[in-house]
Amino acid sequence: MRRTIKTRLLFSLYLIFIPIILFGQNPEVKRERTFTGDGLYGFMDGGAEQYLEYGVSKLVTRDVVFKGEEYTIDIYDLPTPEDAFGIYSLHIFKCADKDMQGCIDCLSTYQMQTVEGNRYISVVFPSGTETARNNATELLRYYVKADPKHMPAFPAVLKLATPYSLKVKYLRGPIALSEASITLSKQLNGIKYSRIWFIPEKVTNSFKALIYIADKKDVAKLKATTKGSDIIEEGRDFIYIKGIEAADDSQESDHGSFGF
Amino acid sequence: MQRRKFVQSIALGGIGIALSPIVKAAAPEKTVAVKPASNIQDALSIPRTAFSMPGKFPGKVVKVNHSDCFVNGKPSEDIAYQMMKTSMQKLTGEDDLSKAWLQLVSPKDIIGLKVNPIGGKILSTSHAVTKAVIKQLKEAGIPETNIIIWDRRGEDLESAGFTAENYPGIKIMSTEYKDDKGSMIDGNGKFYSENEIDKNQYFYVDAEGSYDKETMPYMTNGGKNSYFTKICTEKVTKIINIPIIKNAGSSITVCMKNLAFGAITNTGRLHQAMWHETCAYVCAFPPLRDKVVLNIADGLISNFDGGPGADPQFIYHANTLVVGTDPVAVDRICYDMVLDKRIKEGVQQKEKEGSRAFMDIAQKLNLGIADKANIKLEEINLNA
Repeated sequence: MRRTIKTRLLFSLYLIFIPIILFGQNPEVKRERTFTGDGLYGFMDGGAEQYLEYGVSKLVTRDVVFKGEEYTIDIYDLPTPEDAFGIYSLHIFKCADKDMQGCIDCLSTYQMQTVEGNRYISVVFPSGTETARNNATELLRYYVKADPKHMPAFPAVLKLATPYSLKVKYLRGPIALSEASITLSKQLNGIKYSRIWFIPEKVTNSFKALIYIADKKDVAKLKATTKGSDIIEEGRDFIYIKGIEAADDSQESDHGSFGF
Repeated sequence: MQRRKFVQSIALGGIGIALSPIVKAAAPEKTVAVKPASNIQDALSIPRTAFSMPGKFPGKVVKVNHSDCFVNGKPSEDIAYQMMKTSMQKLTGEDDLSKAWLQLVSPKDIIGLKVNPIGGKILSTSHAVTKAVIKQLKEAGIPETNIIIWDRRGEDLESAGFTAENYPGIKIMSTEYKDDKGSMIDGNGKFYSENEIDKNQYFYVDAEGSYDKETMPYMTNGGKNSYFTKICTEKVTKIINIPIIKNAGSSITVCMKNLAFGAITNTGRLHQAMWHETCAYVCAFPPLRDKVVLNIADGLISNFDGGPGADPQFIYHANTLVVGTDPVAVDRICYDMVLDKRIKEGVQQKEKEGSRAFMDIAQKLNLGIADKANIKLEEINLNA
């Protein structure tokens, strides 16, 4: 009996101190806000549409101070790990480190982005210091556990291997598509699709796109506008094509996204 | 277009694309053959003053760089002070810093510092530069009670740290703001901002602004008029413009965009076909044309893509200030900075035709010099 009490006491102490052992100190939350559905408009201006296209259901954003550095950690809930990867894939540009320890993540000067299950997470550190960068993962793990069992399912036909970051984008609608390729956006005008895996080739300014067609009638329509030699493979509900980004399309044709 | 209607239209697939304000394939500039009519001629008919743009030093631009201007990840106030001092001395040709400032402002002026706080803590006008300007103005004899930090949106000012707490003694003003309960609407059901605009001074464009109820508080009004804020028309006598150097697609948002879109209401309708014209035309109206005496383009932190928002992926330390009385010439120099960086980073291969349109329009309106060959640029590296 005495031994049981002692064991329980030790276990309780372990539970109390384990976060301190693991994390050293807790983040101090300066501001926490939650946005659901269309409420996302209250958080961001024109950019909300892109997130809603992927079906973001909830965003929790926290301004915190952790180990003397300011951070903003945004956690977006999406329907699937693929959708989380989709948003992620549109928001990474260059990574100092990527896909570390079997995860999907991208570390840059001011930001760490990652996909954990059906969550897309952005950790921004305005100071951009090495200390802030080094502590970003620890802060992230305070809020979100690693979820290696629920990785996005990359179609076998793409023949991809890790690292996935910067290699492929996952697109769910016209906003994301136009962000990735204006040429393909024009090519798919009038075609109903449910999702696209998009592989850009920057050096040759070309791309491959695995397009899941929503309406079977549109398969013929798309094939009519695609050269036979550009069709890599096709299946019951998909068509895998390649293409070249038109010179006029490879640059932005506007002055930024919609704003106020 | 209302945002929710927009979302509904894109859900239909291709047919919605042509109307989308976001989808990049939509409505390129060159497809718009006829621009909507505006009241720009009204502005041009008003006689210019001694202070009218391009101000005291047309076509003169000073670009100061200091590679050590960040300490522990934050812009250093001391180094920003040195960079501002050098900029003012070189611009005015006056070694005495206070005399340099007094060429542009006097202790009798009410001076509005137009900052850009849209990018929050990460990509807004830096406090180091803002505080350096305030310090030098005070040293030149300007009472701090005569200095106002302003922008269109109170919420953005607060998020970026332009608060009474951080700037004791300095007034912080905005056209749009919330009350203590977080409401933008007063007891009579009116937006607070309606009391802050001057209905006698407006930019008319034959393009209807129509917004949903969530967007309207940030527009103040719909219709075809964009009213100037009273901050410009009544409250300040001089404006010092302190934008940040950012991209806006393949163009930029620095001096003229910060002034134009920051000083009027009902701007959502102006972001598409009339974006370039608006940047130039609004600056041709007296509340801006005759009051802006200095432009300090803050490029300590800058970006090369993702603008006008603040995408951390594209932010970098440019360690630079670009200063001049001529907003067009300053914008032209900043444009090259942003374009060079975009090409270097592989965002863009070459200059896109039409991206400098607003500067060319502004030059035709005699607001400044857009031709690079006619700009006198002085570059100084302070820690060389």
